[in-house]
Amino acid sequence: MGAEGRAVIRTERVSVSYAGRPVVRDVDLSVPRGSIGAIVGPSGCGKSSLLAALNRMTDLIPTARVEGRIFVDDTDVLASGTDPIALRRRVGMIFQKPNPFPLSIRRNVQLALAEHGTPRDRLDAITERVLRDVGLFDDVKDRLDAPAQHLSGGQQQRLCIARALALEPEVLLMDEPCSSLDPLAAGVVEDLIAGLRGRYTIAIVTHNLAQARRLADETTVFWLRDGAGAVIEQGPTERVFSEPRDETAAAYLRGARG
Amino acid sequence: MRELRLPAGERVATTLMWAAAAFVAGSLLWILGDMIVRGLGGLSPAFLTSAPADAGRAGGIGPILVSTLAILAVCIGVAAPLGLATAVFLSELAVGRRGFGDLVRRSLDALAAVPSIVFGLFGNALFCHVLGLGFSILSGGLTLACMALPLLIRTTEEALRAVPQEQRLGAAALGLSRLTTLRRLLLPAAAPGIGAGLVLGVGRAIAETAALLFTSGYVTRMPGSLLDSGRSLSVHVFDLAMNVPGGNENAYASACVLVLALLAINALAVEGTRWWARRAAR
Repeated sequence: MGAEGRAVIRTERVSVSYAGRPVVRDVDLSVPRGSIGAIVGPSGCGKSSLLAALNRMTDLIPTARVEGRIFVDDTDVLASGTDPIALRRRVGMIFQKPNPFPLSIRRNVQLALAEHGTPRDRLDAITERVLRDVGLFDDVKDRLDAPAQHLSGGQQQRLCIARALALEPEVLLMDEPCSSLDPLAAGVVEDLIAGLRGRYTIAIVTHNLAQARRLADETTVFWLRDGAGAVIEQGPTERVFSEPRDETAAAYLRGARG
Repeated sequence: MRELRLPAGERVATTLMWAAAAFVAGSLLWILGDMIVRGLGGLSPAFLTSAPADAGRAGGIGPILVSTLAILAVCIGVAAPLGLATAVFLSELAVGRRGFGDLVRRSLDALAAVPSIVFGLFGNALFCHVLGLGFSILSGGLTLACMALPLLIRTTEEALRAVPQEQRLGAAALGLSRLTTLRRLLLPAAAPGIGAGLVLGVGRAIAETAALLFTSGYVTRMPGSLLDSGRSLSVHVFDLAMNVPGGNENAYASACVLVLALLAINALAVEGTRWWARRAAR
């Protein structure tokens, strides 16, 4: 996706397979610093699997195998010397379904911070800052010790983003972060993501083409080729949507396929 | 007003189900009631603290209570950590390695079905003789731990598995280690289930008679150490009811204490795990 030299996320011929069955094949992709890169495509074409490879969440699936090369800044993600735990502190991840811990709002933000050794006296200040960042602070400032499960779906998702931001990551990976929310809440979260542009490098998987068009600087279209997901179109979002080079991608982006 | 009438077949079925439920509840109440009516009169502070006399017909159950608690303590002290570790292995580590995890699971299910008398024979052979612990509270507690483990492990494993996978993913994505995830998220979330497992396991242990006859023995003296033989409450009830003519009154009183102790352990475990979960949520 453009400016190779300044790309924070960069993949070279990345393939992912589960128990020997390929789900993603030979994906080249890059997201420049501070920009938003969208991955779109029909269900089941490996978008989420690629995203999970970027912060080695694929390690959690015993049968998963990732080939190729992935870089986050200068870190060789797949190298045997790379500590996935340290990597994931720099590469935050937001999931499709909001997954706050069954803890208080405060503990949700502070659990990882405390475990990573942030001094106690700084925890509350960081909590306030990131909750303000996601526009949640004024709603919850009087009930920080209430269970996070009492929040609405959209608020829970914003809390999950705040929890990721608290670790001051360089990169945020978002796996359809709005698709389980009602339209109003989805709009709020989308505006929030747009507001993060410039400060974080973001890779977002989405089903929602209009959302990709509104949010992304660059867009990659995935399609199922020979049983595995592959890139069929890639480039600056406006160019990809207005004059796609691949016919299948053109039909998909017009809404005629997929 | 029109009455809603069920078809005849359904009415019969409904009546039968009501009757079955009433029969079960009734039997339970009858047993409890009978025990309380005949046993409660014998209960007093002196009964709980004094030593039995005249083969248990007179006197109290002081040393027997102490032995029972000591056997339970050995049982829980051994079974709880061992069970927790195994359950964590089964639910968190043995996911991809079907082979060994499956073998452990199957063995546990088989163990859970083994009659307690067999556990008694095994405990007698291993702990009393091979390991040379003799008829002792230690042998009894260890035998009970073997009995309680399958139930404890499977319940704990189920409780851990019931924690949604999204929680593990969310924790991993924040760079939390598996140990931290386990300690801070999974165990507190599974606490009520673990508590239930502990209650079931301990319940099986405290109610146990057969396995203890062979292992901790039936000496009614106050035990001086874990290597002394000691008679548990259930063994005491058995002995009074079966071997001591005229022991029925004290047998009922002792049975009352046994049931009350079980209820107390239940309440304690439920409250304890709630407290644990609440504390972790802050």
